[in-house]
Amino acid sequence: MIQRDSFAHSHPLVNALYYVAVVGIATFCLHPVILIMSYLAAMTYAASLRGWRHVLRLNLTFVIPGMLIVAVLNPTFNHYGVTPLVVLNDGNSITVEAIVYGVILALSLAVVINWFVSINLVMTRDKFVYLFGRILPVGSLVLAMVFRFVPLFQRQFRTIRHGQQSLGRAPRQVRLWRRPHAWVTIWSIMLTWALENAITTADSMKARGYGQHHRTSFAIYRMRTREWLLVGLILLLTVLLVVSISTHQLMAQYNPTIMVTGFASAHLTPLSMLGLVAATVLVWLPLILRLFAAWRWRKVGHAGTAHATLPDYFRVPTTDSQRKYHTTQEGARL
Amino acid sequence: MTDLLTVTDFTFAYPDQPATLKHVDLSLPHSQITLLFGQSGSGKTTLLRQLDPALRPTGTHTGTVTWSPDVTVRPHQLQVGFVQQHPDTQIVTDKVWHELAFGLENLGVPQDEIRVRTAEMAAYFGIHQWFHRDVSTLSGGQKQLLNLASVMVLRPALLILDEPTAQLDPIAADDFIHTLVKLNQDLGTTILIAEHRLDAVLPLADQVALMTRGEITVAGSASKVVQALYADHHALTAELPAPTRVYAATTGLRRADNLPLTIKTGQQWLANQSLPVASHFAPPAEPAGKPLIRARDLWFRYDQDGPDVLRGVNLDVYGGETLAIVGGNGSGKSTLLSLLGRIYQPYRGHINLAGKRLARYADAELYHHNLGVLPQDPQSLFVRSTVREDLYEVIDGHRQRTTPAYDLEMSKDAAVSGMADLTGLTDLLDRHPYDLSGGEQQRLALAKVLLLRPRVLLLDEPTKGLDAVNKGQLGTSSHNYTKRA
Repeated sequence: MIQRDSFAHSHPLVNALYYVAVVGIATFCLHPVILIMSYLAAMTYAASLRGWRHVLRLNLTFVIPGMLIVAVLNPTFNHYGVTPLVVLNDGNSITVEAIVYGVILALSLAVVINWFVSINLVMTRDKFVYLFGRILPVGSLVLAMVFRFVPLFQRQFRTIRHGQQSLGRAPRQVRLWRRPHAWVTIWSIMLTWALENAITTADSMKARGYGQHHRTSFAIYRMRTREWLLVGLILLLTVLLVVSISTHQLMAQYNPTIMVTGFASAHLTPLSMLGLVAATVLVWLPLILRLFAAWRWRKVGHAGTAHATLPDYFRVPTTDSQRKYHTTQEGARL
Repeated sequence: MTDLLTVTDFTFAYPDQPATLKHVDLSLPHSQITLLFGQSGSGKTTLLRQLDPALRPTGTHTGTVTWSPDVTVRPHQLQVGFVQQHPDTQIVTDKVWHELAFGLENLGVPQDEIRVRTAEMAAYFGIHQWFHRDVSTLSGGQKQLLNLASVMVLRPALLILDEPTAQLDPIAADDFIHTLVKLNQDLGTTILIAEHRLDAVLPLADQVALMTRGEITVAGSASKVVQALYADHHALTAELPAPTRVYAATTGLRRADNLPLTIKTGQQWLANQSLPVASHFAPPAEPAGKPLIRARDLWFRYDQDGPDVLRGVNLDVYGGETLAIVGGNGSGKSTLLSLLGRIYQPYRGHINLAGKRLARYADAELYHHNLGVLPQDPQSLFVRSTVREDLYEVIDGHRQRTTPAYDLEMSKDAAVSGMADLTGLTDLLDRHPYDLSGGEQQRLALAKVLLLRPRVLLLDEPTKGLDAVNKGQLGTSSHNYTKRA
């Protein structure tokens, strides 16, 4: 899944630029064709990383009901448009335009939610630290320390709670009116522990030269040709789409009348085609990259393997998930 | 050829305190391993910190610390590297690669050079297997190795280690010391190490120095220091490796030229002796009666998708006995103890305490007077700012009234002072718990748990980081308690 995905393992700049472009499209470009295509692309990519079951469950139980709610709420509050359906008591009316705009807004929201499923998996902590460090060099160290100390403190908190539990003083073991006292005790132990051990950490930092010179920042990511090409491609596609939209060849308007251009024989111009193609390639880009990688592997991969494929029970586990159930091999002794 | 570092007549005192270091003379020859040992509080840490300019404490000092004139520190290097005792608190970042690069980032080294140097060090220490891992997933030994690597990546001329193996299990400690020796041989780094566990280091050190109350009383080869220790009937002879102690006990150290320091040399010496051997050791008496704790078919794992930590464990613990559970790193000892202490529940199997299911006990009934659990980290029990207050806190304060935690007829003051006597804390009652040494902290945590007078005492690695004297005291305290109860 995510282990074999080439987009997920790209440079953070590529990922960040891509997601800014694609979430921007979903938010600002309200063209129905583009939105529907983004929805399908976002859902498919999220499913390829997380599994269809998770994504379908998310969409059916959360996103689609949310869409319905927004689609119903919009016409009840906004009364623009020229085609009224029902006239209400105070003179306002439920208009077709408002209903359609509500659906479009809901769709836009659904697309963003689905993109965020993949953002969650692709933008790892390392990448955030890297991007942050580009903007503010000392910030990357602070962020790395936050990611270090939050789980550490969490674990220590649990240790302290267990320690108090074995003395009979955990919050859930004492009477209700003593609970605040029990919580305060745990927090006080935690704070003292954290402060005392921070001195050791500060010593360790000082002993390694912290604060003596101007700090550089080490990045484990490198921009190679492929990364530059991807950045260029994303920028190019975004520019084409923006050009197409700004010349009104590919636009959608819902107020006062519904006017959608750029698709169906009526309004298809070269510029609008350009915009549509650019949008298609942009939203499907991660999956295109995945297909490309699979194709290359088929071409190149089999040439290196000369043995026949054996049944499953002969194979030695090679990945961590396989290794979990084979307890004979284990890592370093230390 | 001058020594790398020479300390001459060095006296140091913290502000408003009597002198901690008195007229210390120590010289560190190039590329040699110097071992510094002494009891807790003898000033080892203070001396080690004096030698690192970044960690020098404030205070008044006389005497000099001179570096050899041909030690030149190049721009992206550090002169002194320091590794402390606790593996966890020295790590600053969240990823292994970032921790390795941290020191180099501090010195302003350019990106490409950082890449090369971290890769070199990672490959040398074998860390490249877990280069991209999260620091929180490493074991204690791995973390300490990471600390060592992240200091060595700065190519210090002198490497100082302050009890680096104190918090590690014996196998990891052994591996760490051998890595240090390899480092010394491959890179020629001068090493100054303060240690309690002399088994591994003593045979490998080039120079040994004994510190007592702020002074270096003996310095020289290992056999010279051992002879001096025995001549003074020093308490620290208990720290020496077993072969040395056997040799000293049987020969009285008349000849010290081939003093055995390792099991190998000890066996060789033994082979040439004809000593009377005890015919047999009496096996421990078979326990009588029904077991107090009975665990059957315990299966446990931390997450549903994780591996099983305990698989079908059966255990019988009889009243009045002291049972030690030993095992390798990650074998599930602490987990078993947590199950017996009802911190976690097994997903299969059951535990009986005194004939009744452990799960059926009420919390108050279980943790007051039945079970007492001493956690691995004694600091997680300290609440108040003096030892005395902490002891009173366990039995719900100074006021003489009956609470679930304390339903004795004895007065609280008598109970607390009695417990302080039992655990050797009488002189420390007004100190802050965090100011105590490791051994004293363990004893305070034990005292707190014992004040609830449990029938069953569960101790999770109570001797971690303690020297032989403190281990003995802890053993005596818990033994006295079992005899009394």
